[in-house]
Amino acid sequence: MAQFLARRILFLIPVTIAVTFITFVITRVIPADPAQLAAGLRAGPEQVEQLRRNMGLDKPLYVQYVNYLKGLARGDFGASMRTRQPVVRDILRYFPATAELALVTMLVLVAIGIPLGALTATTRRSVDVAVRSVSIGITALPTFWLALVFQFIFFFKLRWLPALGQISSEGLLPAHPTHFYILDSIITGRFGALPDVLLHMVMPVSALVAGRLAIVVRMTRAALLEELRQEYVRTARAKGLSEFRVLLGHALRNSLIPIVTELGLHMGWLLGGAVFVVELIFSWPGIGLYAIKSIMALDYMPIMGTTLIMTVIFVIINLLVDISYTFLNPRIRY
Amino acid sequence: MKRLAAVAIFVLAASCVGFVSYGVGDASDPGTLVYAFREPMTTLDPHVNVDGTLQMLRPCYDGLVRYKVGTAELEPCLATAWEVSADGLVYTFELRDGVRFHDGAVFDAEAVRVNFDRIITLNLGAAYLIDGVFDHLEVVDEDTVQIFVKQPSPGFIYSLVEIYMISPKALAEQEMEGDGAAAWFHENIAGTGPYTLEYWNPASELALQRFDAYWEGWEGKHLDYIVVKNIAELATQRMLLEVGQLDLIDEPQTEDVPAYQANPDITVYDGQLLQGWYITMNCLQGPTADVRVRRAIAYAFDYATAVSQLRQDLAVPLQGPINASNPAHDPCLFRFTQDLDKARELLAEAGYPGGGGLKLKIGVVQNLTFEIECGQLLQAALAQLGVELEVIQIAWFTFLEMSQDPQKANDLAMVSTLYASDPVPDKHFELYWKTGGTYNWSFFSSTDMGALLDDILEQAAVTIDDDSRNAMYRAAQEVIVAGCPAVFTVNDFNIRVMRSVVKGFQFSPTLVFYDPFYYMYKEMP
Repeated sequence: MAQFLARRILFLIPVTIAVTFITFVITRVIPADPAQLAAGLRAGPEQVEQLRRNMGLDKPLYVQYVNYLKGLARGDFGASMRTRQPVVRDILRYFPATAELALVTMLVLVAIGIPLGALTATTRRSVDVAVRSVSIGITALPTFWLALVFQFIFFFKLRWLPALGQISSEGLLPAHPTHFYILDSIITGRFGALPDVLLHMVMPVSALVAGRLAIVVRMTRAALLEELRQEYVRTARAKGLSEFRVLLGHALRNSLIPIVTELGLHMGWLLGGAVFVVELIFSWPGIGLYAIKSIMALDYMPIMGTTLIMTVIFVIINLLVDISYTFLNPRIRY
Repeated sequence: MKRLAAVAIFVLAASCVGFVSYGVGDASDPGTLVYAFREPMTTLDPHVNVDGTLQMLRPCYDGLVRYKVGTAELEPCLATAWEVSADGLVYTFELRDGVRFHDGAVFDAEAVRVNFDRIITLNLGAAYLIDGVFDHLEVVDEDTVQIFVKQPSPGFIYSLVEIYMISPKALAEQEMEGDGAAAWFHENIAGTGPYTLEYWNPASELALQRFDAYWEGWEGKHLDYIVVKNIAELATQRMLLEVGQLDLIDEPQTEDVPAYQANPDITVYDGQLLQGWYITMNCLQGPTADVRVRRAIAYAFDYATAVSQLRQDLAVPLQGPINASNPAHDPCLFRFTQDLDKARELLAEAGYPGGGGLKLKIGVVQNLTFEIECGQLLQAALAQLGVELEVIQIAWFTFLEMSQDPQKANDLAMVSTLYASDPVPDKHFELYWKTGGTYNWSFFSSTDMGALLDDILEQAAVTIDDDSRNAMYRAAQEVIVAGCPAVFTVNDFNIRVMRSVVKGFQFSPTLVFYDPFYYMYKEMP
C-alpha cells in the first residue's frame, strides 16, 4: 500500500511538468503584451518596460519556464498581475468557495441519487420508469438554463431564496479562518450566519445536482441489479435476512465500487467546468470566476496556477477512489 | 425517534426560510447604498488602481483639487488655493488646515511630498497621469507646497484630481521591505475622504462606511454605508434592482433601459456624453491606404440605424474624434452621413467599380456585442456596394497587440475612446492620433495627409492659453476629418440606473465614473 501511494504521489511530478509546460506554451504563443496589459493601456513606455523587467518577461522563454518550475518547487506559484497578489494566496481565497460548492453537491448527489437508484432497482416497474424518466429529464436540461430558471422562480417570483453570492452580507461573517463558509460560521461561533449560508447554497447546489442525478441513479440501479442476481444474495435471503438488510448490508456494499468510481469522475466534472457556469450565474466567488477573469486578462501565473491545481486535485480524487476500493472490497490490495 | 428527527428538520428549514436579516449590505436600509459592479475590485490602492473600480476609492480619498459636482470646473479640495507661475513651470498650493486622515494622521505639506514620492517610486497606475511632466516637489512650509514641471502642461492641474493622498502615518508604519506599504494599501484604506473601509472581500463585496471626522462635515442628507457587490450577470443585476435589493447599476444593457424607464420605482439618468466609437482604417497598408476607399466606407456606414437600433437612441452620431461636449471640439467639422451613391462613385474612382471584388476585414473584440453588431451593420452596407467585409472576433489582448502594427492589423478595427471629454484632451490625442499612441490604429499621422498632425498635437499639449490651445486642437480635428482615417460612428450616453429613492446624483461631464457619493442619499417613502 505504502509503495502504491508513494508511486502515485511521485506520478504527480511528471504530471505537473507536463501540465505546466503545455499551459506555458499555449499562453505564450498567444500574440499579446502582458506587461502592457498589466501596466494599464494608458501607461507610458517606461512604465511598461519597468513592469516587464519586474515580471521577468524580458528574459528568454526557457529561462522564464525554468524560473517558474524553480518557484513551484518552493511553493511559489508567481503573482497575478490583475489582483497583484501571490497566486497561492488567491487560490487559497477562491478555491474553498468552489470546493464547498462541489462537496455539498456531491453529498446531496449521494444522499438522493443512491437511494433513488436502490429504489428503482427493487421496486415496481412503474415506479422505476417514473423515477428514471424524471431524473433523466432533469439531467437533460442544460445546467446554465436550469440555474437561470431557478433564479427567476425562487428569487424573482417567489422571493424564497437569495439570488447570488455565498452570504447576504460579508458583515455577518467577519472572520474567515478557512474560507469554507459553513465551517467558518461554526468555528467562529457565528451560528446566525449558518442558515443564511445554507440558503445561499440551495440554488447552485440544486442546479449542479440536477446535472448529474440521472447518471448516479442509473449507475446505482445497474450495479445493484447485477449484485442482486448473485448467489450470495440468494443465500442471504434463504438465511431469512430481511430484504432491507440484504440490500443494504450485502448487495449495495458490493455494488459501491463502480458507483464510487463514477462519483470520482463527477467530482472531476464539477471542478473541471460545471461549477464555473454556476459560479458565473450566481456570482459565486470561487476559483471558476477567478480563472475566467484571469484568462480574459491573459494573466499568465493564475492561468498556470489554476490549471495545475485542478489537475492535481483530479489526480488526488482518483487516488482516493483507488484507496477506497481496499475498504469496499478487502480482497483488493495494492 | 423518527418524529423527533422530523421536528428537527422542520425547525431548521423554517428558521432558514424565516431568516431575513441582511446586515450591512441591505438595500432596504435608507442609509445604505448598494451598488453592483461587473468586475471585481482589483486593489484598494489609489496609486495603483487603473481600472473602472477606482470609482469606489474616490469617496475614500481626496486630491489637491477636484471637479465641482456636475461640472468640468476645478475647485479647491485639499488645497484651498493654487497659483501657476507665468512660465507655467511652478504650481504653488496652499493646503487646507485641520484635515485628518482616517487613521488620525494630520494632512500637511510633508504628507503631499511623501505621496508624490510614493507614486514616482511605485511607477504604477497613477504615475501615468504625471509621467513625463512632473519634475519635483518642494515643501515651502507646513501649509504650502510647490510642484515643478518639466514643461508647461495645461492638462497637469486636471491630472491632480486623480492624484489621491494616502496617510503618511500608515505609509511609514505599514512599510515592508521597501514596498511603499503596497501590501497594506492593497487591502486597506487610509485617506481623507468622507468614507472609509468597513470590510472587503475581493471575491464578492466591498463595504464603505462614513468617516465621522471628515473635513467637510456631515450636515444635511448623506449615506452611512456604500456597499459594492460583484455581480457578473446583467440579468441578475436587473432582477435585484427590480426587487429592491440593489440601488444602482452603472453599466446596464441598453436593451434593458426601456423597461427600466417604464418602471416608476426606477430612475434612468442619461444624456451626458460618455465614449465614442471609431472604426479605424489602416492608412498604411491594403486598400484602405487609399483615402477614396476610406471615404467610401465612411459614406457607407448607417449612422442612423447604429444610434436608433444598436443603441436604442441612447447615443448621438459622433462628430469627429472627440465628444461634442468638449470645449476643444469643433462644431463645424464635416459629418459623414450614409450616402451609398457617393460611396459607389468613390469606389469606382479608386479602381473598384461595382465593388470590383474588394474584400476587407474588420477586427472586433470577442463577445463585445456592440462591436460585433457595428461590424455587421457595416458589412450589410458594404455588401450593397459589392464589397465583401469579414467580421473577425479577436480576444482583446491579441487584438491590441496586432492592431498596433500596420503589417499585422486588419483593414478596419473597432475601438472606443478614452479622455474624449477631458477639458484638456491632450491624453486623448496622444493615445489615439499621435505616432506611437497605444490606440493609434489608423497610423494616419504617418501618411502624407496626416504629416502635420504630430506637430500640431505636440504644440497644443504645451499651450497654456485655453483659446489658442483649443484652436490648435480644432485644426487637428480638421486635418483628421479631411484624411478620413476612421469612421466616427456613435457617441454613447453615460447611463446610470437607480432606484427612485436614490437622490442627489449628477454626472460628471469629464470622468465616466465620478459619481458624487458624498452628496447622494436615499429618501424612503
